[in-house]
Formats: sequence, structure tokens, C-alpha cells
Amino acid sequence: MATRDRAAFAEFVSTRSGALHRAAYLMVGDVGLAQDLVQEALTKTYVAWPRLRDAGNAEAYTRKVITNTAITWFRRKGWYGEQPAADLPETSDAGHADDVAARTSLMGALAQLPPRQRAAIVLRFYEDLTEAQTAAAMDCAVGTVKSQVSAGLAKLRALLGDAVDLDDLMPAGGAA
Amino acid sequence: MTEKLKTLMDESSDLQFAAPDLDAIVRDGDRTVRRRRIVTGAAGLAAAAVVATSAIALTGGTGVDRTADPTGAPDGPVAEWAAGSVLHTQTGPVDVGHPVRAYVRTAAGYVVADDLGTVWSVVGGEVRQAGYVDARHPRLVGDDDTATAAWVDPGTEGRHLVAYDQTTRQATVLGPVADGAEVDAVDGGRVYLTEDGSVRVVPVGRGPEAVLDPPAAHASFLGWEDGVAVWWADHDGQSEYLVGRTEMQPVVIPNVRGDLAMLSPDATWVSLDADEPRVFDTSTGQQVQMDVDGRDFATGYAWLDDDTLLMVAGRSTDGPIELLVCAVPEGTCSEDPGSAGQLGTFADSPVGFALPIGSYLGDG
Repeated sequence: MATRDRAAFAEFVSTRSGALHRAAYLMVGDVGLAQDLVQEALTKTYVAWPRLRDAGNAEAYTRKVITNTAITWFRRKGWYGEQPAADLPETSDAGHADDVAARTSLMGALAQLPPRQRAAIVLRFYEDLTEAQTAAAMDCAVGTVKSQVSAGLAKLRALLGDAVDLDDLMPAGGAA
Repeated sequence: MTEKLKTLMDESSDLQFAAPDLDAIVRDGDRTVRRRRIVTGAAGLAAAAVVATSAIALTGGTGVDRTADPTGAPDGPVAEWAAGSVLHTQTGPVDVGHPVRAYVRTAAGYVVADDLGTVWSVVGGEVRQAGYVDARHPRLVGDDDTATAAWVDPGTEGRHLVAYDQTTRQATVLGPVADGAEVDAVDGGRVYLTEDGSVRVVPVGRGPEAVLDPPAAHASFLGWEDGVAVWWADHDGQSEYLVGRTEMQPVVIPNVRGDLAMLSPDATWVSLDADEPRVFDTSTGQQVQMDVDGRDFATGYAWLDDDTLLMVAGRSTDGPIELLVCAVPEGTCSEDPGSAGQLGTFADSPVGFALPIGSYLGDG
């Protein structure tokens, strides 16, 4: 990766864009915005490609760009408001309806978190990053990650209420 | 319900996404790389300049006239740029004795930030220490009409806004600013500062502070000159510039990207950041056609006066970087002879330089 190797970059895009899109979607709550976010982040990654040295660094770099761009977009546009929640599909499968309701509730609750709390939750519990890795992705201190995660989880609990048992959903030790 | 939070997020995001547009990524990325390469050379030259100018710094204190060639004044307008510790000005080269990392012009002279974050005032070849900025990401603004410059001093006790008058040599602390606050402009005795999403208008002397209202929701402030403001806004993925006086409906210039805008000193024209010349009449929004003789890349970087725009340009990625002196609204451009062959190439630039835009051109 010492040079801007287009074939290697294309392979990186091909293999990792799905995961990047999903993380971006969780941060912004909108498919179109997530696609714009990933497109912009990959352009910056392409520019930085020669100094990233390996695909792991490239993914970390892209994730960092996505995170910080998402936070900037939210600040610039003031997107703190709740995203419209999709109507629940009619189904006779009570278990499936519960699953859909849980996902819808979670996305609605995530949409109401301040951008940094939302990013911290996605990075810690979706991307499985450590606190140090999350801090690196968010360009902040580990202590800030802890406080953002703690505040974000508290707000999620309050927003979700009885709809989703967040404590039951937490990975072991995840809230530390 | 036994799913973990990660599983729920996995399922929530299990959607169909369009594949990224690889051609657009490469095209936009290559443009950025080409422009950054103007820049990456600057780091190398600045490092070399530290060594070259140390001896000068040892032999000269502040207030020393460093005009290298007072008889070398050019006949007509020339491009302004800096390399190492030398400013190339309308009256000839001036060695400021410190590596120039960022600089701006005022009506009285130049204000320079060096690689240690020290700010120097340069008037007629005389160099005086004026303050401090963030060494890695210096940001200076200067007023074309007065001797005033402004910057944010990082300070040991917290960041604060500073205005400096090059005529009286007086630095005025205008109060504390938040982390991330950035000076955008100084004009007519007021400093324009973006802080926490608002634009503060801070008087240099007495008078009330104000907040500038944006002309559209979510608009970002880019600059101010003679009562004319430039904003950038993004609606549903379409970006546009909004130019105009605050009390009037702004002129809308659509379909542009970038985050730089330079108003001419009388605010008649605005040059917008782009890979090709983008100069507009601020009262009508009409684009001025600029003849850059088929160059592959050209964009404005500073106004010398109300009718003269300086551009940085090139004919190819591998070709030399050129500085152009352009007449507006005639649209004619000529290559600056003094900088020809001095600036390296976009592809591989061992030589670097600074331009009078108030910021470091590199990645920091």
C-alpha cells in the first residue's frame, strides 16, 4: 500500500463497504445519508491510502472519518430530532412482531441520542471496539467515551422503557 | 427476548445499500491529491528553511529591516507567495527570518505565523513579534482596508481572540473563545468568528458584540467583506453558496462544492474554491469567464485589489505549478514570471510554498 494502488483500494471497497454502510446507517438512521457518508469517507480514505499501510488501518481510518463526519453533519444540520419510525408490518407471528418492534424501537431511540453518544454506542456495542479504539475513532479521551456511553445507555433505557429490556441485551461487561 | 444489543443492531442495519461509486471516489480523490501536492512540498521546504534561517535569526533581532532586494520592485502586479522565510511581494522579496507556515496581507503589510506558532508583523521589511497561534494549525485573517489582523491565541490559560494593529503595533485581547472556535474574517473593525455553530461579530474597539444570522437553515459562514457575507449551505445533497448583504435576499450560486470563498476587497466579486476558475458577480450571481489557456487546474487564492485575482494552476499532474495574475471581469490571465519554475509540480513536489490565505496548506 505504499502507493495509491487502485486495485487494492477497489478490493477494500468491495469487501468492506457493506459493514461500513451498516455502521454508518446506525449512526445516521437513514439509508441515503449512510451511502453519502460512506462515499465521502471512502474518498478521504483513497486520498490517504498510501500512508495507511494495510487494510486494517484503512478500515480504522474510514471508520474514524465516518464517525467524525456523522457527528459534524448532525451538528451542522441540527439533526437531533427523532427520525420517523417505520410502521410495523402486519404478521401473525408474535415472535417476529416482537423482533421488528424491538429493532424499530432501538432505531427510534438511537435517533434521539446526541450525535456523540450515538456514535459511542455504535462503536462500542456494534463495532465491538474497545474504549481506547472508540476514543481513537472519535478523536477524544477514553474518559469521554466512558461518559458518552454511560449517558447514552441511560438515555436509551429511558427511551425504550418496557419495549426492549436493554439490560438483557447488554453484552457481558459492555456498559463498563 | 434473548438477543444481545449487537445482534439487534446487526438486524436493524441488515438493509440493501447501493455499492459505492468507485469511479467518482477515484476522480474526486485524484483531484484532492493533485491539489494537496501543491502542499505536501511545503512541509519539506519549511523544514529546510528552519536550518537556513536559523543563522539569520541569530544575527537579527526584532524590528530589523529584512528587505532582501529593495530595488527589485516589479513593474506590474505579481503573484504573492512565500517559500522558506521569504515573502514575494509587490515591492520585491522580503526575508522575514522565520519559516513562513501561514500568512495574510493587510493594508499595512503582512502577518506571518512560523512553524513554532509565533506570529510576526511585517511592515515595509520590518519584522516584529506580534503573538502566538496554534503551531500545527495556524489560522490568521487580515483586513484589506485597514492594518488589522486577528487570530486565536491558544494560551496556557485558555484560548482567546486577539486583534493586532500593524500601524500602532497594539495587540488587543478580545476575550476568551471556545475550543474549536475559528476566525473567519476581519473587516471594518470587527472580527467574525465561528464558535459552537454561531457566527460572533466581535468589535475590535468599543461597541456591542453581535451574532450574524444565517440566510438559510444550517448555512456555514465563509467570509465577509464590506457588508457582504458568503455562506455555504447544503439542501438534500445539493450544495450552494449564498452571497449577499444581510438585509437583502442572498444571491444563490448552485452546484458548487468546497468550503473556501474569497471576496474582492470591494465585495464586487467572489472566487469560490474549485478545480476550475469560479468567479462570480456578487450582485447578480453571474459567472465571469476566465481564460486560463487550457490549463487542467486553476483556482483563485487571493485578491490583490478590486480587479486582480491571483490563481494557482497547472497544465497536468506532472507539470509545474504555476501562479497566474488575472484581470476581472476581463477574464485574462498571465503566468507570474517570478514564481515560474520555483514551485515544483503537482505530482512530485520537492519544493514547497505558502500562499496568503491565512492557513497552512498541508495536512498539519
